[in-house]
Amino acid sequence: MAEAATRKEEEQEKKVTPFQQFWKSFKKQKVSFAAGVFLLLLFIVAAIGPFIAPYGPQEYDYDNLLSGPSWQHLAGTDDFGRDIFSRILHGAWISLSVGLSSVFIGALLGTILGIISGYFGKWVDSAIMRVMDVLLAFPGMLLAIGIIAILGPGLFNVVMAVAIFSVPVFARIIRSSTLAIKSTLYVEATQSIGSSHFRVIMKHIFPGTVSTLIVYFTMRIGSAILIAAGLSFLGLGADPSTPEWGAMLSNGRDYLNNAPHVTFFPGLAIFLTVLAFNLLGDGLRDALDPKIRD
Amino acid sequence: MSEPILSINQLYTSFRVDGETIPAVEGIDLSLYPGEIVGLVGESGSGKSVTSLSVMQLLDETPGEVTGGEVLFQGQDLLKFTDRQKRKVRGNDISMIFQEPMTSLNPVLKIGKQLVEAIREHQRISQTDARKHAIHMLNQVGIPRSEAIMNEYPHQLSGGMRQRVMIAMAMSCDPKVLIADEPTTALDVTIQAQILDVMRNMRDQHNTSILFITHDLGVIAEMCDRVAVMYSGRIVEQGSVYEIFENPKHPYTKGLLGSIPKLGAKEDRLDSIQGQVPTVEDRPKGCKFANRCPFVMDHCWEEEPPLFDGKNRCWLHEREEATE
Amino acid sequence: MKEPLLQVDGLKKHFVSQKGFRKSSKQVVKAVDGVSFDINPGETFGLVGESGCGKSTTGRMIMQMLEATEGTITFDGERLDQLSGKALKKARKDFQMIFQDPYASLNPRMTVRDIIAEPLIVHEMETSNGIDRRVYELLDTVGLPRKVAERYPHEFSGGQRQRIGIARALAVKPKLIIADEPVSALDVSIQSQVLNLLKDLQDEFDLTYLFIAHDLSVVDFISDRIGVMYLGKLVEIGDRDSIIQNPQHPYTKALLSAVPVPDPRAKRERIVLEGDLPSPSNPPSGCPFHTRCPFAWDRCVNETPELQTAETTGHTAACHLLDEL
Repeated sequence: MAEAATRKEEEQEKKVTPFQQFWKSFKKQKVSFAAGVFLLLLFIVAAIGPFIAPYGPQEYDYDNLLSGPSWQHLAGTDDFGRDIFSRILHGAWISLSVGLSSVFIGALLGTILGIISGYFGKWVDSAIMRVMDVLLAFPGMLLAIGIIAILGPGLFNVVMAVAIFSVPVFARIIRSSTLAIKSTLYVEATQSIGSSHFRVIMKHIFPGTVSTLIVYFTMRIGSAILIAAGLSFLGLGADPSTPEWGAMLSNGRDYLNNAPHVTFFPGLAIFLTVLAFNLLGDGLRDALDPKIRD
Repeated sequence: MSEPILSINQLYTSFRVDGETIPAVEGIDLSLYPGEIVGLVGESGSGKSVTSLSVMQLLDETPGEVTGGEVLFQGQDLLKFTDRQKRKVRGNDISMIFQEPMTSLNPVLKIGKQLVEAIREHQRISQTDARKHAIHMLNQVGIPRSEAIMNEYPHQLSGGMRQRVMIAMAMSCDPKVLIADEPTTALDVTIQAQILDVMRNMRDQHNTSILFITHDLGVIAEMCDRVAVMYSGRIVEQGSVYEIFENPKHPYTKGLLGSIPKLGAKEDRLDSIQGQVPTVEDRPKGCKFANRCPFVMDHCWEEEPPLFDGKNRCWLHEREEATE
Repeated sequence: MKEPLLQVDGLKKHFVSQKGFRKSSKQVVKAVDGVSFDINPGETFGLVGESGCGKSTTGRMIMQMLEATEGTITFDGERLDQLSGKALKKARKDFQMIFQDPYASLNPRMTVRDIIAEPLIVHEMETSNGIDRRVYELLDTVGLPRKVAERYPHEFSGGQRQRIGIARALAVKPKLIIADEPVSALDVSIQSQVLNLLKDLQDEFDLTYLFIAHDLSVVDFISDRIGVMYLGKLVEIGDRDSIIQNPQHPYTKALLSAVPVPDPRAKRERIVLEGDLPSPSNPPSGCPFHTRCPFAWDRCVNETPELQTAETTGHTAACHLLDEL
């Protein structure tokens, strides 16, 4: 019964590059495709935000303090009369770059450690993985706060804190893909030819982990943005006056009762962005999975 | 000979993948008489396994669907049965054994419990009687220390033992038809010989009809009374085991027989069939074997030959008849 | 007489697994337990046996993919088991492997060109222009069209993939090819194509084969000499015709009689063996086959028979009843 199905599959995949194949199945995931489009727009907005925003991020309008959404101020104003919509546009760049750069650093270190751990095994593996276990034993937020306590507050240190707490996640997942690939016959085949460790890792192991890496990378950006916003909310991240989404939430906290829009709109921005990254990650996983099994 | 116990008439089965319909079996006619072993032989993708699943109505968990034809069991069309009627027939009148017995046995239940449940599903007998019957069946398939095996789990048994248990389970309700889908393919030759012996004994003792599906022509020659050779979803040649092996007519059958190395033959080369089995899309319009056939004629590409005399699906057959 | 290309002497592989909560009890699985044979240049030596007999483990030890517990492997006058690092890598050029599973042995993320070129790059044998030329040459050799070079393995059927695997093994012009069940995953009509190809390649490139398989008919077709393995030991070894026509060991006889023959009129006296293969972690005392042997007697239980030459046939078998049965 599966015979016919696999035959069909083989037929379809003929003369198709792996990317085209991925694209074909990704397009079918309507929800995550939409999430991807949303994120693409968000990146564009983040890049050109400062130019299209109607007001500056620190432009005070003392006539309109804590005023609700109106045509003049689309998302209302905060306690200094600053336009919240404009601040969200300005802050998009901060949130996205904090999310991307911290996960990038975490993924880079985690992947290197994971591959070394999984490929060489034995004591190297035990040593690396015990350190990772220690890092993982702390709840994410607590670890980040601890790191900030050592490094001091500030956006750059938030990036480092979130990066460090992403390392063990990547190290673990990449280690397990490495173990799976290491035991395949094609890796044994290349070893029997006489390939060096470096060649086996670069040509066979790493390319095999890429699809897993992409999926986790995407998913982690969402949580990195969330943690970074959380740290800023606690006053451990961005300077309170910067239009960082978490810091904006923190600002509006005192006016929750009479001016809920001050927290609602930054909160909505965080929520939509994190959700979009997670949905995109889900879709990528489904689209890339057949390749992983392959 | 009497009436066939099972007859497959113009069976069509296809698979639905991504909204497209892919034919897997296209118009199969096959009869099974009481006490007969019929071999269904073909390579991967020939549709032989799909045929057996269609007969057993086991396509539900696959994207496959029977799209035409009938499967008559004692004159009644199995394809028109309700779920309840199907369940009654399955395991009781028609049983099936598969290539990998481990997948058909529940890993967390003891062998004995599974056997007893299978028996009590179809027969109104007490727990103790069912247990006695189960042990009797295990003895019949040549399992030593059958009482002890009743209390063991599937993973404690070897592959050969598990296949014996499967046969015992399949035979426990004394079915009239046994469908065996590559039952010995996963086993070593010495164990395969044991299992084939067991199956032959079962046929001799219970007069069970067996539909034996395999890719191994050696096993077919040893086990079967009649043979149907499948290629690209069709039967291309059908006949008694002697006709097929001693005087094959269809070029595919000839090629297949030439492809197997024969023990002690001291051959220097094997007569192989050129090319690959075509994918469904690449199947030639006329005869499906045209692209690999050494005797291909212009006509073969144009029109698909019928199964002449119910025996040979080849245009050459017509020509041979004419010259004789 | 010519010097053998490969000499295997007293090869053993014992896997130790620790069991129990504190890893207190050790279990030794004797996967290969003292195997010796020679392969002469240009010949095909077939190693046959049922699953778990240690034939694949033997092949992997010769390939230096597994370390031998004991014994020596001499290839082309060099002790392979004593080589390491650069010297081993250099020696590897002369022996290559063809694997059983044509699906798992090719990296799904590499193109056919990259797969076939890999050994050439590893051994720095060609310039980049030379590599392309050599890849095309190899595709011609194994009967695949040149245009497939840019495709990925999943676009091919099992038989075509096995051809790619063969091209990879031939790339560095090896002297010895170890083929581990190269056709057992293939359909009959494709199997015969690959077997014919392997024979042609042997003639064309003066290859020596160690052909590992469970299918006696296939081994009979391709081999010049055959070794029969049972539970980690060679029980019979000799010229192909002598083994097939005049098997001496009761296990070889049973194995031969169990092979289904595609002739419905074949009359056979089948020796149906009782029971299953014993576990290699708890092998029987004395002769490993005595638990299933229809002729076993006291001596078989107590004393392990050595390989000795049968007077009638001139080939060797390990049985206490040699020349008496």
